[in-house]
Amino acid sequence: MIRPNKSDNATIAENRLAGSMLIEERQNQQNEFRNEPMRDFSDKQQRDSFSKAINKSTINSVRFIDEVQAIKLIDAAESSFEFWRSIAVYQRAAKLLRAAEIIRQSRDYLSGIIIKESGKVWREADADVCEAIDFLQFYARCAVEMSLPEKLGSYPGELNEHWGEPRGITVVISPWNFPLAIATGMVAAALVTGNPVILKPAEQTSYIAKILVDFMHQAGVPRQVLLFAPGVGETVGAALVKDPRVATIAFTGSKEVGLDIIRTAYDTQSNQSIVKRVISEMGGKNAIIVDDSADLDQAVIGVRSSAFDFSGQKCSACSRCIVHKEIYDQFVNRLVASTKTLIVGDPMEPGTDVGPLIDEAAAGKVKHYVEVGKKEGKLAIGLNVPDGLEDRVGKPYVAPHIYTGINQNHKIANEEVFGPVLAIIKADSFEHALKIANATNYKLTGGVFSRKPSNLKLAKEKFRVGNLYINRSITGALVSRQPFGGFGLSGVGEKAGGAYYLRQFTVPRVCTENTMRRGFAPELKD
Amino acid sequence: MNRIPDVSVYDEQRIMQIGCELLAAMHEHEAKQAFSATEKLMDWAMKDHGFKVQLFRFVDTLPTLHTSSQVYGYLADFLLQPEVHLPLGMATALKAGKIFRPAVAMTTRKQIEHMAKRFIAGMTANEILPVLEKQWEKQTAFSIDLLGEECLSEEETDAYRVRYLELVQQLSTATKSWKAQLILEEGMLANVPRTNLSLKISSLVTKADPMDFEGTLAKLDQAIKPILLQAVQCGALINFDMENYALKDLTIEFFKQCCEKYNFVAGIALQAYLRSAEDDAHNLIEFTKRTGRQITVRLVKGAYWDFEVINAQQMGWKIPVWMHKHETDACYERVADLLLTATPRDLSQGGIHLALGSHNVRSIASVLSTLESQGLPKNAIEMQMLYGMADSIKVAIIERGYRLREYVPVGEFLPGMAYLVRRLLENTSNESWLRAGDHERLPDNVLLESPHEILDLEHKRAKQ
Repeated sequence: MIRPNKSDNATIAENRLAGSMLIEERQNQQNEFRNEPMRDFSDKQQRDSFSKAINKSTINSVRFIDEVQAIKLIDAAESSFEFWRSIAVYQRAAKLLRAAEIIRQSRDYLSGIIIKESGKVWREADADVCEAIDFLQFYARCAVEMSLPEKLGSYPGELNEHWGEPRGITVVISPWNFPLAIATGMVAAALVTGNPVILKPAEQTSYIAKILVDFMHQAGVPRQVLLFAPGVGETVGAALVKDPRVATIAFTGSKEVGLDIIRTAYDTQSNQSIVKRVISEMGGKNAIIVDDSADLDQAVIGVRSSAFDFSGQKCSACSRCIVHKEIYDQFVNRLVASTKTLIVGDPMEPGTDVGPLIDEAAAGKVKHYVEVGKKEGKLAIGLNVPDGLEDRVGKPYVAPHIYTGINQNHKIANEEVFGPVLAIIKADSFEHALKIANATNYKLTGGVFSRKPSNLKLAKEKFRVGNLYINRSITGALVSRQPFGGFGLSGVGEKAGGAYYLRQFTVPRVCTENTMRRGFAPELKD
Repeated sequence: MNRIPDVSVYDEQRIMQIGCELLAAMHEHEAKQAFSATEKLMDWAMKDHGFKVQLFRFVDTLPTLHTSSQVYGYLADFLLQPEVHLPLGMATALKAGKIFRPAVAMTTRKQIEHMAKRFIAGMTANEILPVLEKQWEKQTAFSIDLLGEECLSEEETDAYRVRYLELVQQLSTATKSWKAQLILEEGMLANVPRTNLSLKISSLVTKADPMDFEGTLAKLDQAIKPILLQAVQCGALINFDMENYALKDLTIEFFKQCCEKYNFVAGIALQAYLRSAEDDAHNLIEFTKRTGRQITVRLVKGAYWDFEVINAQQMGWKIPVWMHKHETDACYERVADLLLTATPRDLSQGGIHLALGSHNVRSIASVLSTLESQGLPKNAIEMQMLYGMADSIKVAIIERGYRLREYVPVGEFLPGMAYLVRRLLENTSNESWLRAGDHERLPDNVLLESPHEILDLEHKRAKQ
């Protein structure tokens, strides 16, 4: 049980103070946004206290609710909307900042829960918690900044102002792969812009989501404003999406579920007072191009970690690697040999590179594609899962697999696997590689390893993805520095962790006032 | 945290005197030297930052290019970027007609290979042995650095280890027949091994991760065992090089573990640009006193300054290095003095043999002055400098009767490029002592300025 030191009820004075500090900080331009630093594991003290804390973490089971209870949560949200929207924005922002502080105080403990619940390795779990803190702090700043009405044009006698106000009840459906960070991001964005929120987390990682909700309540977000709806997607999730009172649905997850939500949500019912908006971040079939002038040391590590970190269970993960024919053999040999050194193990151990998959269903799907790959191409390497590991950890494993001899028509080059399976495609030239890379409907992340200036320029122009990475891995986007999100079938909506994200939770309003009375306007000076 | 400087402990008068003598000897030697094409190129690189960035990026890419049309294409692509101002001859060559392109490509490759040869002694033991012997005749010892690409697989670490073992063996066999050189071989207490090799722990294993501290130590121990056993047998010195800050604690811990386990002639590098340098020195001194082990410490300033600053800033961590050159210089002298006090006076006690890895005359003069004031003989320390650089300082050092050792890289063209770029950066950096000393000919009193006095002034100003 986690109890932060801070008192449960924030006073208005406290809120005001935090709010004004925030504005002050914003006005001070030198003070640009800083990401929460990840743990430096080369430091003995940080390493030891992390290890100690994660060993203490325990997961409790979360009782799921049913559709009837879910509808009751919407009733509660409906009743609190007027209250929550009427609070000054800096007060809402201050609650986000307080929540960030509460999370910061139990950072390593939360990492432990993420390791145990989702099977992430140390660095991945730590990054998840840091990103949650970043979302809270970044959206708090953005909300305050955009709350001041924007003046449009400068015509004497006419005052035009533009601002946004909350859309209304927001349903957040969060994924298991960034169980704390993404849930926090979507919840924080909706809350800070004045919307009541119902959070329906992925079934697999409900406990870390419950802790998030508890922390937000402790930070001063009223219980009627942030409501928790743990449960099964097909029932609870579906009921929430369907309810006519819901104004916005923020979803991150698979393409199938995302498109299903979009279909249901846009089927407007007669008793609805707002057309729903769906913000949906879905999958990817992301490619990394390795050019003939790539630094191979860098490229091998970049491709390997993009493909196999967290067992490839990131929407940004690399599942296609397109290699220039000039260095094909050299690169593939080194990649395969270096993949052999990855340690498939218990995520609680610091030496583990690849942990388990999230559940049996996921493992079943990945195993299916392991077979598809064998039919379509040549298995260059398939690592084994050490005996007894699955029983010891209590989760299923599929170890890294690499296939060569793949072309862009193969299933394994088109369908999202969401596991440690990498398809390698040979290209005749850099232009050819770009063409292959673009030949998918997903447009999320992409990468290029090249040292040729003109090819890098070409990639920026022609490699059509939401987030392009040059000479580095293609995962691990940071809030504010790398606003994240794709287009095509990878998603609809603004980039998470970017300045425009919050607007999606508001309705835009404009007011035009005629300020001229009897031929006199205050703006006109003689 | 910046230390409050104590200016009084430094005998500036004596430092100035030694420094001026060294500079005079250097200038006499430099007068005989010609200005090479490589130096002309580097000179231009210093003048135009845009040219420097693209030239070095091209040098870094060159080994992956096979055909001459590839070489020409990349060269033109890099150097015809808008921010680059080319030397006249080069601009004409690049814009020459198609039939001249293979010639341009060939000349370029030749010139860069030539540049690489200046800093890299050769590719194999057979190639470097004559070079090393020639240097030995000129009263210069060596420490070999075996260059390699990153070891990303077991095959690559195995291959590296095999090459390393061969080198230890070949070198110690070959050096046996070399003629005696008292200045290089007579240490203060015992004979100094002729064969001296440097080692980077990251080349031993596929993943040296300080997060998995114990696990990595165990893997390193397995990997190094044959090398150290061979070194014991041959009586060779093995020096543990320092890499990036993240590996520092792991390297020191591993080094201490090896010293206790294997009876090899042991050395380790320490980096004075680290804020932790004094603590690291105390750590090693304490270890030698406790165990009675004698070790060599190569004190360097550190070669990864830019990386450490960039990395720390990107990660939001405290920057582990000093931000100003004079802070590093001052730290270097403090740590050198500290290590000198741990010099063992007889074979029965543990302690540290100091090796100075610096080309900076001020730093060298300061340590030499301390050496005198502590009543230590010249062979209590040795000087270490990079192969292919700072020739005039080396001559001056030898003339003064000190043991000089060159850090000599051996390896192929591809991994050599990363090393070459590092050296080129060093030679062309604004903060480089080599540049100040060699090219700009600043007055002696500026070159020999006390870094402690600058720190002291800063403190006084901060107080006001």
